[in-house]
Amino acid sequence: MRFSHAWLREYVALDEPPEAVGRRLTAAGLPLDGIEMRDAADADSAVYDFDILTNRPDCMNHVGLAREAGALCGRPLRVPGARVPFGGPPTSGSVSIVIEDPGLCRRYSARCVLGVTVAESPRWLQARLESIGQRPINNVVDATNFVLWELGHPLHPFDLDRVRERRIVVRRARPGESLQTLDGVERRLHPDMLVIADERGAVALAGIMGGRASEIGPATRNVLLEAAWFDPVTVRRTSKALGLHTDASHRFERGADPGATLRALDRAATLVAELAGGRITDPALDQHPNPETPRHVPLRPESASVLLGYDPGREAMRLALRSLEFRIDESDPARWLVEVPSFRRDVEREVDLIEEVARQRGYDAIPSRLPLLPDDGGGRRREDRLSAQVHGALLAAGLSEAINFAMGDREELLLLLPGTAPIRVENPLQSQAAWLRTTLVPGLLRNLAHNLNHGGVRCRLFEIGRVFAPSRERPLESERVAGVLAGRGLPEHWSLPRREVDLYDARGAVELLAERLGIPSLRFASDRIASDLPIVGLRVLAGASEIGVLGEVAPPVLRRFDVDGRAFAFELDLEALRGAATEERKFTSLPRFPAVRRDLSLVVDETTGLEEIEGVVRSAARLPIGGIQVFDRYRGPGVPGDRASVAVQIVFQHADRTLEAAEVQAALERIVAALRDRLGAILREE
Amino acid sequence: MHSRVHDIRKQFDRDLEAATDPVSLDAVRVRYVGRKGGLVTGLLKDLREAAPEQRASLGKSVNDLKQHVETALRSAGLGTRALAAAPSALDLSLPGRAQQPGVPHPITQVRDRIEAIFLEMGYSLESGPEVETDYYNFEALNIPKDHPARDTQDTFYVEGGLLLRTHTSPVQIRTMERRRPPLKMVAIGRVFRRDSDPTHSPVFHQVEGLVVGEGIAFSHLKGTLEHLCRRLFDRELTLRLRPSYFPFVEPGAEYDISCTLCGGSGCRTCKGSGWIEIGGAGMVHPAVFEHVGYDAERYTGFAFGLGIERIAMLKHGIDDIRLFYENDHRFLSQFPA
Repeated sequence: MRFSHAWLREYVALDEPPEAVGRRLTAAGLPLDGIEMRDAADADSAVYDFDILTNRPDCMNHVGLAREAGALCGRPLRVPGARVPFGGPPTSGSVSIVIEDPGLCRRYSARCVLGVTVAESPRWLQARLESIGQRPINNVVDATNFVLWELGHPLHPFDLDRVRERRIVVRRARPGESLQTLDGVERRLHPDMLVIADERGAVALAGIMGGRASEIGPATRNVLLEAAWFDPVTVRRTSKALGLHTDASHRFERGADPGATLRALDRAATLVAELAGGRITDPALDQHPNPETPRHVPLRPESASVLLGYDPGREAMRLALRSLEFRIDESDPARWLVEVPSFRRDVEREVDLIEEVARQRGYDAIPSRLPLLPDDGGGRRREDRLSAQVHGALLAAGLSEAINFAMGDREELLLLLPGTAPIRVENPLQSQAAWLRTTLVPGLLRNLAHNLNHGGVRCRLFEIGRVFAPSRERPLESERVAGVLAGRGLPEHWSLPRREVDLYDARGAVELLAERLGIPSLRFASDRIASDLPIVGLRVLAGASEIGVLGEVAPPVLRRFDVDGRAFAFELDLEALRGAATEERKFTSLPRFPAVRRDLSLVVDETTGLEEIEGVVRSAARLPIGGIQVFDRYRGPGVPGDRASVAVQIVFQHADRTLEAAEVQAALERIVAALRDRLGAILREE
Repeated sequence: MHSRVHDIRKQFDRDLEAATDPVSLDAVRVRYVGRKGGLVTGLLKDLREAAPEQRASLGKSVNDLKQHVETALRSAGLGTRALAAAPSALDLSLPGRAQQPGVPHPITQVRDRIEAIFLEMGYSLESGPEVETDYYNFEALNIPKDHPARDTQDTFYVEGGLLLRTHTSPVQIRTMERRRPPLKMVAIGRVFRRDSDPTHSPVFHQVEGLVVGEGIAFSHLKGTLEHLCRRLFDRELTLRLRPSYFPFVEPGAEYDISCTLCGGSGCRTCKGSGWIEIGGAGMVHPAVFEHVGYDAERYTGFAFGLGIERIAMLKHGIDDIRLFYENDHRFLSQFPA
């Protein structure tokens, strides 16, 4: 909001350079955004841009800001007076006023100026308004605008002769009623909206904008000036509903001062008469059915010290409050009673007064110390610790972390997770982010496309985040971990041949995850997922429950994301992973006797899985098995089409003794026989 | 014969792995490509006896094998010789075998750092839902319906009369409803606002802190923020509080730090002011305590917030917030943890 330095100086002596004034006010909670100077040598040419926060409508004008500046610099405020000449014709002879809804219009004050000549404003007034970016219109309108920017109270001038029957009614709009506002737009009104009407219909939108029909123009002879107080919520709702934000609505919706109407009215009336001639009606009409009594707020000086952490001192407190026109009753020295000026709508409680004191002194005066409180005892929860482990495991697996929006495209979500209807965002910024995600995979696939489209040779990303599912009361939020891998495999080094990532890279990442979390029961169901699913591969199980999926992203899905080539993905339920995790590991004694390793090269059915082989080996061995590893799998020339050659290494390990070569050999023979009988496996000759 | 080629290759790889000194390495060489009786050499001879229609494909796989064996022997020779011979025999210009772990997102890095600072001070970590009710996001925070302060928090609404939380402050309310004072908590999470430009993202991350107890004062807030900022930026810096307005705190403040780049003399990062805005803070408003049933006469508290993206942008000199959500490897890999 723009303020002129010269204009401020009308009301308070400011000898400091504009930058210094800006700094003082900033330190008191009226932040300066910038200063523009038409002439660097002339301080009076300075125009400030202050960011006046919503709780301080009283500072949205020059007198209000000058009051703050004066209080900070210890200088008095000179409020402009207005002397309406006695003896004018009574306002009641020119117009009548009825407030139908006193809840929404607490006060309505009016005067007329009769016999005006509408013309351009004098240069000084135009210059004032132009300095803060306001466009001069004519002397009557400019006078009311001037008062808005001077005293802060919005006023509205009507062409009195266009107010039919010269009767003002403040009422709610009637169903179907409409009004052409000053900006020329025909507005359909709603009964929740408050209007100023005459005998026949609405002539203005209360507190927002006047109507075209009663606009001040060159032909206007008689002016009706309105200074009123309108309900903030009604003004705000109407302004939002119509998309019509004005200087007046900005102030009314933040709370105007009902005590200020007459002063603003008189100031405007004298200005109009001075600039446009005419006689001011007197006395004013002032409908004020339920005047509010001044607010009194108790202030215990001791509370200020406790809350601020230092004692500002009683004298400083007095000074701070009085300079802002608060009145203090100190009959009880421990509990002052402070009368709040009517323009300070924001001060309601003791803490508000304490803030006034702290603000004036500046927050730099507040000492800095750490609180002494017992430790909270909470620390990191188990779920946070386990999430961190998941995070660490996937980083170790060579995946980098991605963070995506929680909103996605409905079609993409349904493509990856058919059957779960996403929840709609009612006012999205873009249609691709209009639904709450039900799966993390689409976001990662978008990242994949981005990386490949920007010259990346590989993409390995994971994300840990929430997904949202519809539920009765509120959406169910659950955490997932997902990953996407594509492009060149790792490790990559000049000494190694290049390869593309495949299913085993994705599986390896999940296996590492299981190992780090201590989930020995994590299995991959080798019954393949139906090939018409978006991710074709394996079901991931922890114990008996399915916790996710791992596999190759189906080509139609990749096409939707404009990804060429192959991509592999997994997505797991993080809560299920946490549930299955064992944080505490039990120690197993280290073997004291050597292990014996034997290799077997087998030809098996191509559908025979490692789990089956392992099961047979363990049951047939009758010697303790330390582990079984596959070190080769081969299909192709030399092996029949429906068979595969699998080479495994079996580690025999006894806890209590060294194994004899003969007994290992015997075990091996039993194993080979069992593999042949149960799986039809044959031993390959070298 | 194809499977023999395959087996020999496997066997070779394992033998080579086992050979760690020049002598055993030489034995491997003789065993596979020795002029007499070398296994690969033998394969080449057998090739002549293969059926003519197979000869071409077999020839290719045998030759591949031979090449593999020779290349591997050569590079292994470099390695084993390094143990015995002078380093000059190595091509020292070649890069090492890189470990290629992933990198945590820069937002996570800042988040972890802030978490750690507060955990060391004995705070607990709390969290709350991302889809919130009007009550927790606004009402209980002293922002009633039709309050102009709602304008600054452009809200995404979700079907069913819910919204995406515009700040992490609802976690304050949820935590106070569940627990009694004294308490010290931080909550870090995603928040949502309908706004998108180089410095605003519709999704971003916030830190929320709350301390409630008897005798908690504004000075404690200042001390805590000073500690946080010094630890976070790892340097002596000046903290400045300015009065500001957030309906759920009173007195309210915004806090700035002396510019981390110029130290306060004025530069582009601080737009010449010497100060960098970090976040908002204040003493918990009594109306908030009333909503959660705390005795506002007995307890006082402070609350503060800050944006993680903003800190990450400052620390790393990132000029467009949208980069955080593209997840471009070229971006992510610039911030290895």
